[in-house]
Amino acid sequence: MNTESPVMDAYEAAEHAETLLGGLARDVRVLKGSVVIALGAADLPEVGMRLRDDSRLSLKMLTLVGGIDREDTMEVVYVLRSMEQPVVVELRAATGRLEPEVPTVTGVWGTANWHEREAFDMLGIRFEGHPDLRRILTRDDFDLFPLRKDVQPRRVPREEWKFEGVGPAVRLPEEPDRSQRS
Amino acid sequence: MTVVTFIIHFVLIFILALGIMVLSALIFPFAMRRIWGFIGDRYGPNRVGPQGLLQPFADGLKLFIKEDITPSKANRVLFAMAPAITFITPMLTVMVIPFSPGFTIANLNVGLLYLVAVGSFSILGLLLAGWASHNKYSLLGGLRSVAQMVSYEIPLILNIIIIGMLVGSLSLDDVVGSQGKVWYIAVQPLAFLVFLIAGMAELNRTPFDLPEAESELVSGYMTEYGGLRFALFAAFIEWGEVAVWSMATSALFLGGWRGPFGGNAGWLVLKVLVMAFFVIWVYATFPRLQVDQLMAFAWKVLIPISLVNLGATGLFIILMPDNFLLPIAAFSWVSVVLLVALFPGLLRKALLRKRLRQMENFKLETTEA
Amino acid sequence: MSDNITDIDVSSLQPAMEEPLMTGYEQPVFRLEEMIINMGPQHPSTHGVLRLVVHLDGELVINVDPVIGYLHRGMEKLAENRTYLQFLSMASRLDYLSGIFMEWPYVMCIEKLMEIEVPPRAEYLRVIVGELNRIISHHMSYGDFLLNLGAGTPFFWAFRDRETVMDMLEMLTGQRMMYNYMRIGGVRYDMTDGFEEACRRFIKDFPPKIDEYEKLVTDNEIFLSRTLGLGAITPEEALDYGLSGPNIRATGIPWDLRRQQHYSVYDDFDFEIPLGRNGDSFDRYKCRIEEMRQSLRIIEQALDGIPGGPVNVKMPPVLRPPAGEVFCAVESPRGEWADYLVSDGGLRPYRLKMRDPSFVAISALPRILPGHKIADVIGIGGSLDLIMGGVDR
Repeated sequence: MNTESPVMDAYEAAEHAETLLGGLARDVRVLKGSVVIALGAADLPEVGMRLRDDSRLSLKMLTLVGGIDREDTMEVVYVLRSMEQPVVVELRAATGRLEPEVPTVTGVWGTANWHEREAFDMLGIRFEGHPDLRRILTRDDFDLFPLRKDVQPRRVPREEWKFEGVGPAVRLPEEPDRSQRS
Repeated sequence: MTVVTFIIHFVLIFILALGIMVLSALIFPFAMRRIWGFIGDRYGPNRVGPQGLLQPFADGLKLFIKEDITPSKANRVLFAMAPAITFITPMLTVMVIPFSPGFTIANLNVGLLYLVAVGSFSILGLLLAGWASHNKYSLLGGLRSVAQMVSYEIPLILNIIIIGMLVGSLSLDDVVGSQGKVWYIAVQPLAFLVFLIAGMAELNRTPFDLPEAESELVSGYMTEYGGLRFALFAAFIEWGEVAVWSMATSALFLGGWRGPFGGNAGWLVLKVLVMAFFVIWVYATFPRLQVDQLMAFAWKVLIPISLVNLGATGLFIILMPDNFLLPIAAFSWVSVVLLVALFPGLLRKALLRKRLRQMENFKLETTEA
Repeated sequence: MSDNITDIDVSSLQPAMEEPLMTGYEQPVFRLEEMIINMGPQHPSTHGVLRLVVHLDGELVINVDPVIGYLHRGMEKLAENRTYLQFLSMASRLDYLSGIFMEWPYVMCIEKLMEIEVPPRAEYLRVIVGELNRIISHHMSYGDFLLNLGAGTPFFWAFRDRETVMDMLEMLTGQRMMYNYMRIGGVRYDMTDGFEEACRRFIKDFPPKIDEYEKLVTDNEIFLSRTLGLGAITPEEALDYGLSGPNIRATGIPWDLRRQQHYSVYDDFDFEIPLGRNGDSFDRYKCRIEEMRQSLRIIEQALDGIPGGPVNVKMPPVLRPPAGEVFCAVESPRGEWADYLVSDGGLRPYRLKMRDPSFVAISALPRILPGHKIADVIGIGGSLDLIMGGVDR
């Protein structure tokens, strides 16, 4: 496609990204065919901006934003696609589990808006500076972050079925920690 | 005329008009579904009775036993009145249609004027239905239908005037009577074309069925109606108007009851059926226009064409008072051919340019605000 | 009479004229109140349960807020509570019109984690069934789009031909929509008797029917006036919003994962990627129609070149993929469907994140729709080909 820069494979792309990011990247390696860049949560917008505007990598498309509840930390994954190279780049950043908070990248990729809303809805990750951080898939007054590992589905016996008001089929196993709520 | 004969006449005329409405409600919706089915390569309703012929009765029965719901916030009086007002319109319009030689219920000398004046009465009913339902979709549908019908009334009237000029009389009997040698569709194909398009819009049929565009406005002004009132709107009024409009078109352009082997009402029925088939055919083929394009089409295309046609017809009548049919026919045919050949290309070019400009303007607006 | 006229001192009116008598013309009169319409979730043509809160100025859309989640089934949570194989049968329930493309990245993820080599015959079968599925999905998109524009007949024509393909898929997979055909390390069944003949007959019969579809609508003036230049999006914006599939190709960006990502055996086939120019509804429609033709080409080449051999590899009865994270994506009819699978070495997926192209397309609606008429909201929504089953997950 681009005649100036030859097609890179994942290892070359990883090297390129490492030199491009300098100290911002804590770790760059190739895992399962994709370039994985580990970085501090605070550096996300800066790193995103550099990767997007780089002429060789040109990571202009944000494919998905996922949150992973690691039981001890909360991890955020951004999967990026390059317009020039056949590589997939993953950005991974860890944040605290109880008060997960990372800066938003909506300024870098517009599509992050809804992906981050979904991550907030599902895992309670707060995206600092997000223009419109609301629930998206669950209802507005839902009081759980369903993809967190401490939220376990429970079979509700038939006698306990409630049809008036809200009868949730999901309960926290222990006394819920109110500080996690939004 | 004694009171008794008056009452007898009234009842007979009422039965005739009502009969036309009921027959069209029984025949046309069913025919539409079967013909649409045929065009769409499927069956259509064919289970109730032989070939599904009893389907309209089954539908009628179903709608009859439905609960009659009035929305709680609706204006009850107007909500109930709206279908009635709209229902009367086609029944009144039937009065001036010549059915067969010497049989017109009311041979008015201002028949053409009556046709237009009474025909536009149904607008009121649709507006009331839209407004009284207390529903945004209904309101939008009602407003759309008013805007649309008022706009398309103008080309309709202009073309009726052209026919009036050709005949030299406003009586529908005279219009049919003067088509002994040649039908006016051969003399004024341009007027027929415009009349056909404007009439389809007047009837709210596809591609002009915006007031009831189900993909955006649910059912337009009849969204809140159910049961028999819905049947009134969806079957009786819509298709009764199609029947009456087809009769008017036949009288104006297709020679009314005239035909080979002596004229009688049978030819009129045949012409009505052909026109209704045309309406259904268009319904099955075309997508729907958009509301601004619809209005633009009336004001920027149909009305100028009609005005030019009107002027030219008048000019020929003044210049050649003895033998004006031939030059008018020549003018009309040439314009039809030119329009059909040139119009699509011009439209397509203009469209994209206009669209892009519109979008740019809007973007500027929003960024400033 | 003339005396009366001269008696009026015109200059005395001047001060009054300076006052803005009709301020309404400064601020457009009709923008006094904006109307808010809730389109959906119960609306005849919002493709399921999408709800659009549309702010209207007359008939002009000034703002749109899509509300989704009415079909949320918690699929990602369900995946975490089922074994790898159990979830496989649920994957095709996500985007119910193109089920294969939900199963495909999921099995690809597990194969990548466990480093399983898929037999070539299985890969070819995957391509065949995938392209057939792409065709019926585009059928549905064509019919639905035209139905949204008010034309009913194309819908029935599309369904007539869709039925043929569904029968073929049933021959191959045993199911018409929820295929559950992919297996980790291959596919479930080999080709049944008669499938290949049916396929070849279809490849021969179908192109005239595509021409027929196009004859019905593509050159129709009303259709053009409802699609040309409407819902246009620039390539830069499309990239920014992360659109994919026909929606981004309509803007002229040659972005097709079958080419870019070289997955499965797509490198063996010779096919073209249709591209649009303006990124409007018409180009999106046209791209889909052309893609149906290209899919036929791929199926034909796959049938010609399909190798022999097994269609599956022997798998252990209890699946425990090694711990790790893996990302896989396929080009579904609506765009890039991607799975991000996290395994902790246990019986169940630790986390399964799915990326739905329709979700992304809906997120671009607030950008695309303002400035259009309300009638176009439905038309443009139809041209984006939104399926709520995948959006809400």
